[in-house]
Amino acid sequence: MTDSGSTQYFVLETNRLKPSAGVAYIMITISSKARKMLKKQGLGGDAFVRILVKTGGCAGMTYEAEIAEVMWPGEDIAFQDNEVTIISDHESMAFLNGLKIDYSDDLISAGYRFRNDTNESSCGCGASFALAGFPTLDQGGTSCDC
Amino acid sequence: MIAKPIPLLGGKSVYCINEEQMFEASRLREDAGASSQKIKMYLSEIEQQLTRNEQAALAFSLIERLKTNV
Repeated sequence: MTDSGSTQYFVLETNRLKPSAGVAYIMITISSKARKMLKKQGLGGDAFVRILVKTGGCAGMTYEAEIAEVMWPGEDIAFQDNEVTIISDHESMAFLNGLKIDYSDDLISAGYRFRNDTNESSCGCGASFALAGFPTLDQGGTSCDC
Repeated sequence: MIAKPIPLLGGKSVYCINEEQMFEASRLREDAGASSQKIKMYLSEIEQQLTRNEQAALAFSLIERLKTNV
């Protein structure tokens, strides 16, 4: 575990399960506060976190995240430790490496915050970002209602 | 058992503010005579009397009302 300012991040060092052949685990760090909120919202048992990256949002790309129990075709395990399993599709996984997930109960920046220092820029909403040095994404996605 | 997926990111972003709007807001607050005085007076009072989350709720409410009552 490392301490980043007031936020403590658990850094993945070992994985219990292996993803499908040809798929490599990626580095995702999840703060203790985010973990606590995920459990409160239903994570546990067979439930996992699904994170997808789509075009759209204020900064060009956006994360979509939900707690679910049913995997879709084309999805695989992106990250797993003793508490959290993260599922994504193969196209999105290329954008998740280095992702840090935090949770804020401050209303002005409330909820889960997704940050990836390898991104060029990010939007204040915490879900939208622009890419730096990543491949482009061809799939459609959500847009913001600004 | 989760009946249906639980979204984690709060839905779509709404009421985004661009840099030009922020610049104009700063100008009105700092360099617009009587308007600046009024804005600063209310800002000071609100910041003293409301918590951080109450201030955010007020700001969001004002933006929503302004956007829906054009």
